[in-house]
Amino acid sequence: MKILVGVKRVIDAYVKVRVKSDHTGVETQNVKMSMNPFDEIAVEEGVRLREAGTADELIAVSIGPDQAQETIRTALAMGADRGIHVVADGRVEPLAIAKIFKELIARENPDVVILGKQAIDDDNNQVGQMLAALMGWSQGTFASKIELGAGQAKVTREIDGGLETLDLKLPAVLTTDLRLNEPRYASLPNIMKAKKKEIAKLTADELGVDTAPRVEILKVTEPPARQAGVKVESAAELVEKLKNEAKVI
Amino acid sequence: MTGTSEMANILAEAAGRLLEDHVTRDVLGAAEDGTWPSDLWQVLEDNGLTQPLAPEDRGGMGASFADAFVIAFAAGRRRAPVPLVETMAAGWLLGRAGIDVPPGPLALIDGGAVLTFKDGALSGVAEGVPWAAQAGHLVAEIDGTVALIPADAVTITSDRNMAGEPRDTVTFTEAKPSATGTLDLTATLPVARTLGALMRAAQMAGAMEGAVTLAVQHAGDREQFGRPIAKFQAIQQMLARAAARAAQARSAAETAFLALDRAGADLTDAEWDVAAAKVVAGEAAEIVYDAAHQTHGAIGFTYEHELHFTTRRLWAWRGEFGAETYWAGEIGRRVLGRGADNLWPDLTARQKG
Repeated sequence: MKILVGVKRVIDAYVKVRVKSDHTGVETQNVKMSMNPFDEIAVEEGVRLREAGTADELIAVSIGPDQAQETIRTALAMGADRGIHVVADGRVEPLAIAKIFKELIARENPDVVILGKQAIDDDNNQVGQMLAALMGWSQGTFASKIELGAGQAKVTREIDGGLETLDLKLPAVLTTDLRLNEPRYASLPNIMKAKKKEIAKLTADELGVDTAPRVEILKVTEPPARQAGVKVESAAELVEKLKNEAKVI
Repeated sequence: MTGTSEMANILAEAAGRLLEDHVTRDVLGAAEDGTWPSDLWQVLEDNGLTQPLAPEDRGGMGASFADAFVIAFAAGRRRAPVPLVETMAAGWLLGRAGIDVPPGPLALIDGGAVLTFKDGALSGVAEGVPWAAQAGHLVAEIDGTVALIPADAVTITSDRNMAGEPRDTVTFTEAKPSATGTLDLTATLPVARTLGALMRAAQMAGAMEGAVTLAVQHAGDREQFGRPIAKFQAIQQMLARAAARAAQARSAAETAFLALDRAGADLTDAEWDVAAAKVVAGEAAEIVYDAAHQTHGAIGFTYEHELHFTTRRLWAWRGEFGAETYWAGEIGRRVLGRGADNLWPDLTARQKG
């Protein structure tokens, strides 16, 4: 079984994001970048499946600028076998990413694609679902448990009020939730091995995918600063304020 | 892996995260109270971070000093309360002497200790040995001979440095090493001291970066006279100076590690860089801990605040494996020995390759 995992280079989860002074986006120059945390979980799941003998090969894919190669290399250091870097500068929208994955699937013929459920930079949560639709494949999103068998997968997903278990036919697109696993650290021996692993370089043009954005971003601004609260003397005053000032009841 | 910043970034990220997750406030406090952080050591060993420098056929990873710098810097930044850098340095010494590296933490005897090696046995006293009581083996280098000594062959009296880290007195009474070997190196100084100073320089650079980060964060959070204290120029100037000195120390330490990679079997030239790194780290530490404590005010002096875990280490490490006076003296001796005509070329054309 062959597994494809998607890894995206995003601003590190612990960095305080700053809006650019011209309000065209957020500042990424001289900012610490890391692998999207949900994608780390996807890589870990793939590595575990390969270590368990369920999968034979794990391929890490990233779509982005030259620096995205470092994100792929991190996935290789975690245990992925090889990487594919689709070089793309600028903003690439979820539908274009899904189309690129569709073309890569045609070339690599994987049985399963595992993606993070969303990237923490744009929080779109769209690529997995779009890819499944484009391929006509089964989809198991927000997975908190994945069991792969011969030609099928059992996916437990977190939904409002509990857990839902799906039986899916392979091939399938799966997206990871936070509680699926705890990603490992890249060990020094694996980091050293990762240097020698192959990363193929492609462009969206070579794959025949138009990555021009369809959505125009008008302005990016910081959320408004939170105002100080007020203390009320009684429950009656609170109700009065909610009713007449906040107008929420 | 040497020379690729991409791989160094990945190693820095992995080592930094691992230490961040495992060196918690509780672990630091418990370590000061005498509890050996076995979980931390195990996860370091499991991830191959304890023996980067020993060759693979001797039980190490065969990585470069450039890689070791990344690990030592991260260990200092996160104040890892384990003999990680000592084990790394001892592993390299053992490898160079053709000795298999045993698993577990190793205690590195400072080359400044007065030990004698006669009839296959060691005698003498070594003071301030890091984590001797926790190590399974001790590693000493005497005039080019490296000895691996089981901890149960010596007498260990426990003590601590001002950071609360174990710094024990080890008495060798005709102690029999389990293995000995000869270093295939040329050096003018005790190699164990040079390696120890190299590692301390990297740790100090990491700790300084940590202290500056804490101070900058506090200056942004703490309000006085209606605005964050970071808005006051006096604070800005103090922190900028500290950040510059911390960066200088990092640069000097990294340069020394790279010099060891270039050195091959002749450490004579790299000793200059190690000397400079330890002097720069010591001088910078004074600026950095002054600035960090001044910025924090009274809260920085409380045990509950984490700043002291970093600044007490800076004080302690500054004096270990030779303080600035020792290493500045070495630089002075070399400069005098080389003569006035070589001073300028030695200052300006040292970096090679």
